[in-house]
Amino acid sequence: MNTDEPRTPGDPLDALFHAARENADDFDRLEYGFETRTLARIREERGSSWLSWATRLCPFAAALALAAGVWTYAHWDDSPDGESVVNAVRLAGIPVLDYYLGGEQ
Amino acid sequence: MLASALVWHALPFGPAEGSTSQMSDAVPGDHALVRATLAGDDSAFAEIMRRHKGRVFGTCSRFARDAHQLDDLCQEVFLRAWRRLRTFRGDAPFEHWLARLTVTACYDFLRREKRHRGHVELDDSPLEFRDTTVDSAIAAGRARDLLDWAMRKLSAEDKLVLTLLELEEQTVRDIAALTGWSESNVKVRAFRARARLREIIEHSNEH
Repeated sequence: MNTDEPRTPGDPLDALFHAARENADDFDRLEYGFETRTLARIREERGSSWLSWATRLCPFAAALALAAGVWTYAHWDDSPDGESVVNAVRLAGIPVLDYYLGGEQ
Repeated sequence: MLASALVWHALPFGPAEGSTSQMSDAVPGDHALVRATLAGDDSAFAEIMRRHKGRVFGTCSRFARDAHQLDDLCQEVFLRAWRRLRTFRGDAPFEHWLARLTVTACYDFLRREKRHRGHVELDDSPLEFRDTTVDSAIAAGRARDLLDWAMRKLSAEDKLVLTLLELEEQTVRDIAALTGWSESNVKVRAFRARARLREIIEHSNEH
């Protein structure tokens, strides 16, 4: 009796609870290998976390950045485009145009 | 804080072997195992499980309906413990912290079960010995079957409070500490839950 609630002596409900308490389970079969099963779930969960994926993707991201750098370097074009020539002429006048057209410096 | 610390000492999750600071160096305490687990040592967490699984299985068996559910529920308790291990401050024994996690996991399990049953079926499976009395169920060694059948008709909160109070034989104070409900709330719930359970069992005898 754990509460302050008054109980009737010979209450069938109390008898039922008492009998159910006496009927203890045997968990030996279930407890066998329990740690291994639970650790497997923990490792599975740990492996599926986003941080783990981010860590795994780090080398690929680095390789991709390196490849992009090499490609950009290899395809680097330092000749001016049309728009920048027009702007330069507008600002500096004809001498710049001559420079680009191979005229007198 | 002092009151809750005193409650923890009364909880039935007694100190596991090696959980006290007085133990020899050869047997690490629970706090040391927690620290090792947080540092990434899985074998330390396996040791924690080995120490405490008996109590966890004992409590969870009051709520699970079969061995498969029981195994799942116990794994869920330890998975939650592993996920929240960083929140264990170490100012109370580990087993008390784990006891709260166990009760919370069992309560969530009961609510899930109730929702699932509500969607799947209107009534639980019929009781084979519905026309028998409590006395004859006890005499036939089927007290637990009758109680399981009747308790499944209660709400998750009612089942939780009756299980902790009557089957786990915990005090109102302990239950309040484990569930976070006030002591008066626990008493009122327990009183009403008993009345409902009595009604269910009496009603089953009328058929």
